[in-house]
Amino acid sequence: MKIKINKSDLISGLHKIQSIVQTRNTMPILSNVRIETQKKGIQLFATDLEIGLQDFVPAEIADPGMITVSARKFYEIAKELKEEEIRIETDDHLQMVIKSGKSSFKLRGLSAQEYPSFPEIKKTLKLSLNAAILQEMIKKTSYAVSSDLSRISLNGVLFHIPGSKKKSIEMVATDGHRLSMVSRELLSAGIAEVPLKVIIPKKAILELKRFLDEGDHKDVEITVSENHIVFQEGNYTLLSRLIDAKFPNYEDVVPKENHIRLMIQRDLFQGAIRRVSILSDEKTNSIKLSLRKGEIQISSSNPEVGEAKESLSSDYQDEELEAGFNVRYIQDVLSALQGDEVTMLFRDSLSPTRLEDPLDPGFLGVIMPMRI
Amino acid sequence: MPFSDIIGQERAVEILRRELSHGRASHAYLFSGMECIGKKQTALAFAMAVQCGQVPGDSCGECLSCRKIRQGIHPDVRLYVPEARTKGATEKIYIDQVRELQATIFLRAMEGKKKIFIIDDADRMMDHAANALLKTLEEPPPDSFLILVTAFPDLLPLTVLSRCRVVRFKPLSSSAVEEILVLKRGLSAEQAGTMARYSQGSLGRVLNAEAGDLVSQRDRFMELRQRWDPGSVGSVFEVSGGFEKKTNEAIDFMEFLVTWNRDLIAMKLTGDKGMLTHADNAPDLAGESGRKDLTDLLNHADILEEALRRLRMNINQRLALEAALIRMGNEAAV
Repeated sequence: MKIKINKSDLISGLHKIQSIVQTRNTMPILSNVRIETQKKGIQLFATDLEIGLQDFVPAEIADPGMITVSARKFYEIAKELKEEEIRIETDDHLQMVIKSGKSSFKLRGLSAQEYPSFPEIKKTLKLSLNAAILQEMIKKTSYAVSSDLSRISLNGVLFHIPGSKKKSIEMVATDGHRLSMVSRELLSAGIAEVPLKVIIPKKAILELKRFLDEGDHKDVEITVSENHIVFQEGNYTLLSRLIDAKFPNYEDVVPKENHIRLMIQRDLFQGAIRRVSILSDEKTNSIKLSLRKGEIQISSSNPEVGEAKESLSSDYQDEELEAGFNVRYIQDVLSALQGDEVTMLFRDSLSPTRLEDPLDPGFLGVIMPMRI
Repeated sequence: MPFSDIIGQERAVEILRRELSHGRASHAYLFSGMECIGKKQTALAFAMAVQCGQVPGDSCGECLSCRKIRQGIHPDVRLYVPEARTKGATEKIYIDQVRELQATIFLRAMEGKKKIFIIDDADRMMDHAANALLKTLEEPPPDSFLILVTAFPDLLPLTVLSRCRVVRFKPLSSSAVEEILVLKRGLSAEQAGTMARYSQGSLGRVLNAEAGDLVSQRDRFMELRQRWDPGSVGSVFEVSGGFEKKTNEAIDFMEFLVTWNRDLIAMKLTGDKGMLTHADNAPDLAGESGRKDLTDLLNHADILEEALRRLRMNINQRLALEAALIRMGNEAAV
């Protein structure tokens, strides 16, 4: 392999894959990045065996080839080089020589054959989704993913395409105490006839979120195969294994007959909650909502530290109600939404509560109250 | 290595091949049998057969998938081994290893068709690690196999045992050991033959040893055994004193006693020299077995097995050895 590459291009590519590469690994080769020449550049590929990330970096190829080298060291070297032009060469002994200006580095590598290969994707579904929509859907669901390893099916976001009649796409996440789902209409063609339900691991979702949050993006191509899901935009490709478990039947837990309606200014509500939560019980994180005609009161009490309360005037007209909540659950929903107002729908103080965004009928949040 | 290269475990291999080719393979296996007789190799051969697909009921041993499994870099074939977390600590399988396994097992396969998880020396699982594994053992996802490998199944919790399909591996025959030694170490048939006789069915004992060391160790053990006078507690202390803080050697000695005792029983019952481990000492064995009572010998076998089990559980070697020798002495006196 013999190539000439631009420093900033290389750094940008290597930067993207750093989060995937782990330092402590059962397989030493996984701390490496695989570099493979293509016609007009190099393909970088890194994987931790759960997700994989591929990025194309333009380069001048004098001699094709492939190798794997330590991703971290390669990145550190690239960052420190003074000149823009970098020349990279490999020898027969799996060593990579990096030269720029008067600096020269020799990195010992491992055979690219030994690196996990990018799996063959036999597509069962392919669609394209606007990056901004995907980003928003992730933002509105990812916070509810469970980290409890004993319930594997909840460790990811459900990616659901109901089928040909309803041209929509749904993402759902839950940890058993709260649930959030977003549904969006699908405009793109190429939707499979068969409905599709796959669970994408949290790690992949967060990695994709990180990518989408950085800079502007166009449409993201999504390919789903039996075992994998692939997100592709421009030169960037994120691959993830799917979770092999059955997502719980969430439609049953969504409350449908909640008639007590509270509509409230999102920012006022958020501010009051934040203040009151300072004195909430550290173990339970609980706060109490007391609804009365024309007013709602938010209060917290921690027997060892003290108590706090704040009232907000509101046009609330239903019956009086008191309910306790984990403050973090409410905060997560409030900060994921964008509208000025948010609607909470209760049935009684212990039944699951719905949260809705009047501006986004595709969103639904459900939170279990706490007994206080 | 493919199934066809596994030497001396024809029965176990046959069971696995049959179950695989009939699509009846279990999702959780326990490979049990003494140390270094090919259990882990067979587990890897199983993994290769599942992933390869080139040879029906076996693997080719040469395709990319087979090569990756052999090198331990196949993303869908994971091997978990005991780790010593602090310097000098006993090697254990920790709960975070089991958790890592569980997080991976519920992901669909990366490259291969299925996922295979092998836990070597599964008896070294910490209690909470074993308990954490129970749920996964009971209901692993459909495209995965768990293989627990152990030489000491009785150290595993019953809850784990009862959730696995047990495949027993027998001690290697002398000829199998001989064959492997010729193949792997390039020994001459004669050298390999001598060593195989001292292997007591376990390849580990001889694979990395020198023939001379083995012979001299056994001669030393025989001499020690002769110094041991069942009636004298003093002689017991003298014999066991040499093994203080030398667990491995104590185990070797105990295993020697077991095989010697076994030879005595075999001699008494059949008189057939072909069945002896220590065939070169047939005259001594014949003489001694003539003087001993069969019931005593059988009792000794029990005592020795018990002592071996204790030694492996990491108790005071000297005490275990002394207790066994004294108990055997008492038996003789009664």
